[in-house]
Amino acid sequence: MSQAPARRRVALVAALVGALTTLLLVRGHQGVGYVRDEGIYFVASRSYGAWAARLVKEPGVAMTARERDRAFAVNHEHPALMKLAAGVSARLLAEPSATPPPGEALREPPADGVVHLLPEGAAMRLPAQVLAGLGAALLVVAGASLGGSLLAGLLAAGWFVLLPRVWFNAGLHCFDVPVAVAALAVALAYRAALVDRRWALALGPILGVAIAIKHNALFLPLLFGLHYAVCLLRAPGGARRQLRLWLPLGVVSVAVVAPLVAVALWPWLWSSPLARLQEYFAFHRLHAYYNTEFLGTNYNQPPLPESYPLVLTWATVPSVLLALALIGLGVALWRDLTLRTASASTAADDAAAPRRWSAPLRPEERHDGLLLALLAAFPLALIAAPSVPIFGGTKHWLTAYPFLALAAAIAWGALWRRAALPRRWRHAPAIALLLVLVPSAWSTIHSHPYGLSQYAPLAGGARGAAERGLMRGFWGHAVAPLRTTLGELDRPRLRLYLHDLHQLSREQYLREGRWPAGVEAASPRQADAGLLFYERHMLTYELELWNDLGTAAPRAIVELDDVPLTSLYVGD
Amino acid sequence: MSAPRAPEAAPAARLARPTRLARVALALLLGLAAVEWAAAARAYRATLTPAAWAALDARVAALLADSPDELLLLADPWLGPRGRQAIAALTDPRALAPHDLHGAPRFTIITRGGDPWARAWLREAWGARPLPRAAEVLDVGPFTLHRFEVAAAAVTFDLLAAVDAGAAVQVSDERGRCRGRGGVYTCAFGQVLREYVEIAYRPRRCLAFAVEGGVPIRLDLPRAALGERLRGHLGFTDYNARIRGDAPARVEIAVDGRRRAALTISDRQGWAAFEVATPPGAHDVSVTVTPGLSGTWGDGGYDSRPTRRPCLELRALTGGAP
Repeated sequence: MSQAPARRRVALVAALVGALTTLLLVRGHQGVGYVRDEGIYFVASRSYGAWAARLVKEPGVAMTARERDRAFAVNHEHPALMKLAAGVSARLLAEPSATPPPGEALREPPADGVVHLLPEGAAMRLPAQVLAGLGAALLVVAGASLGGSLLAGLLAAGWFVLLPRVWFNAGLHCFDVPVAVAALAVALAYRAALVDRRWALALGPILGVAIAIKHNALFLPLLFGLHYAVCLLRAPGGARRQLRLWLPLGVVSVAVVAPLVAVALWPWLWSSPLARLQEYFAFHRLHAYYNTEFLGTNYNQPPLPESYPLVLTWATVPSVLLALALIGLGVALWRDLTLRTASASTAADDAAAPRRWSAPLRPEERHDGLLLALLAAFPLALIAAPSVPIFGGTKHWLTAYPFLALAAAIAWGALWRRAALPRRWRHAPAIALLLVLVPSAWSTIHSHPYGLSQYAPLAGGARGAAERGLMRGFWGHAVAPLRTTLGELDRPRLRLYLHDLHQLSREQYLREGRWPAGVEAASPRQADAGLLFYERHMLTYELELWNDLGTAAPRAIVELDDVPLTSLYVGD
Repeated sequence: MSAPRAPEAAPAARLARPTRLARVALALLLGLAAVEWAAAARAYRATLTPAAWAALDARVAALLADSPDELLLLADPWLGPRGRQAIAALTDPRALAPHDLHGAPRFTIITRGGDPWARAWLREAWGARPLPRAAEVLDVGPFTLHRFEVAAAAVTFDLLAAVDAGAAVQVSDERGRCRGRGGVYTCAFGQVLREYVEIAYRPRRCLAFAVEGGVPIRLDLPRAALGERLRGHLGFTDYNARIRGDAPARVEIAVDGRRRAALTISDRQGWAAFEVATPPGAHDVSVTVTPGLSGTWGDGGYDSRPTRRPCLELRALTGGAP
């Protein structure tokens, strides 16, 4: 177990895992309904994609401030990169839009890609799915390196992508898994930049790309700064007294190049950048509160209980994976603490080979344990902070998970190496790997396409969560079987209350020919039928349906393991 | 990236302890994984089949045929949609939105096994009285029916039932009598509506006062059949407005023209219960509800539309008292 894996074999397996991840997401997520946020991202992506097409044909026109602002004004509270990529993807790969049924019209130009490969929504989800595949591949490589075996790399990748919540989010046209993968890439680049000036130069651009995906990446330089300061303070040979080492090349790259790249990838900021940046930061600082249910209580104003992200992490990640991650963090931090003794000889090395400004540390001085601990703990600590707006939902700390996965890989390598099993047990690690990954994979496969409502085995799955008063779902996506039921109602015209199904998501179904003919959106008072997506605070809307439709018995229900996720009410 | 260094060569005695520790840790981890397999096998499957629901429906129908007034409750609110789809009796207004368990001479709680009183909402509905023991417990597949009987408990008058029946319930405001019956009363300053509303995250069926702030609405209940006490609840609709702690409502109750109670109830009290001792027999009862401010405060200042409505239920009870 202790032998370092051959690089080529690891790279090959990483590529296969990455490709398989992306392929399965492309195929599997065509069954996942469009979540509430995707509706507006689809609209924005079409607008950004049209701008990109114009940039190719008429660059002079596209680059004018008027055209840029017209294209990028929609949904400018989030950076543009993923939506721009989605728009381009749809322009290249989308199947033609369906002809809308009588009485309906498409509000935006129909889709018609260069190659007719995927439905428009699936084509727009593709860039995020490719990034998820990249994340899995990076975890194989980094996990194999840190854990000292290919199996450790596979554990790291499986730890991350096989989680139901990660898998569900990984396939969406959203930013949570993309930014988690970007954070992983930035962290690996930072770690390499400490000892290699080429990575120090690359660090700024990579961070810029991450910031252009989502604002979570803005926190990374602070964590890197803290980590680097500790590394430098603990480095032998008087490194801390060398002033130039406190502002190494990597810091310059982050401070100068990253913002330039981030702004370059977000054309909305090219006009009035300061005012628009202020607006962007204010939007997230003063973010509207979400409602979230936690242990039977609905929270809709801060503070959430500090235990919220910890309990939800336990409830949604199999415990064996969490245990491995915690052991790995312990092992890595212990290695950090014992570093000074182990590397005593480097004081002499400093005299022989002075530290460089462009690559200030030696490999063994990088304090991987501290780095992983900071990157894994910070997203959870941020959500736990009493003054942070209530976001709710595990997706907001998914950025922690790649680092917990790498910690698990460290534990895996350390434990099997220390166990020093006899040769006849040589297949035990591979079998054990299956044993520890199956609960997660089982959870994901079983809950698909409702992974957002799934909980870990020891939490009792969806049923256990419902009994404990944990949130059953949100985002109005669990609707696919009900679209079929609506189509079978055989009414020439049906006014439907959409509840949490966003009107823009309905329009996306309509564009793809996946919305039943004659079913229009309506308010509860005017509706003949209504959808209800279950959340604790949504009861008000269910009772409106009871009052207005005159029935309290749903016609059809979407369930996960006995737990109702969505109901369809139909009036007489 | 570089691989971690291989373990340093050391005497066997020094290696023995970490090796043993690592083996124990691996064994524990794999044991935990095995436990999670078992937990997954238990958690990741539906346990309530259509056949199980059908059997429950049949058993409940037979039970209610013998005891039509029996109150039926589903212990787990999250199962409600499926329960209402499968069991017609669960769509009865009393089952959909029980005010509480006071005055109910017989009631049945459906659980998936276990103690029905483990649910906080059922304990709250029963109140501070000592918890009763089930008179009968019936297993129906994965479900259990817990039947309770409360000696001498009875509801002698129910405001909502009177409104449903179109009985003599007069609603008036300062300008005079409101028009309408059967649950919708239109007044000069707004409307009074019998409806299902959400209060304290539970369905409630009550009379909602969608009227201007500060306007008293009076309900006259002539010759109401009173028991030992009037018991009611008042709460506020609209969770979004409620979280801001807006103005309370005032409730005044008079029997035969004599004021018996005056209460001020805020939106922080949830489904606030109250009780008033009454002389048994037929008496004229009047209830006056005055919303403080019916609108709410938001980013744009005060919005006077009555979005947060006080909602009232009232019953006359006898027996089954604490």
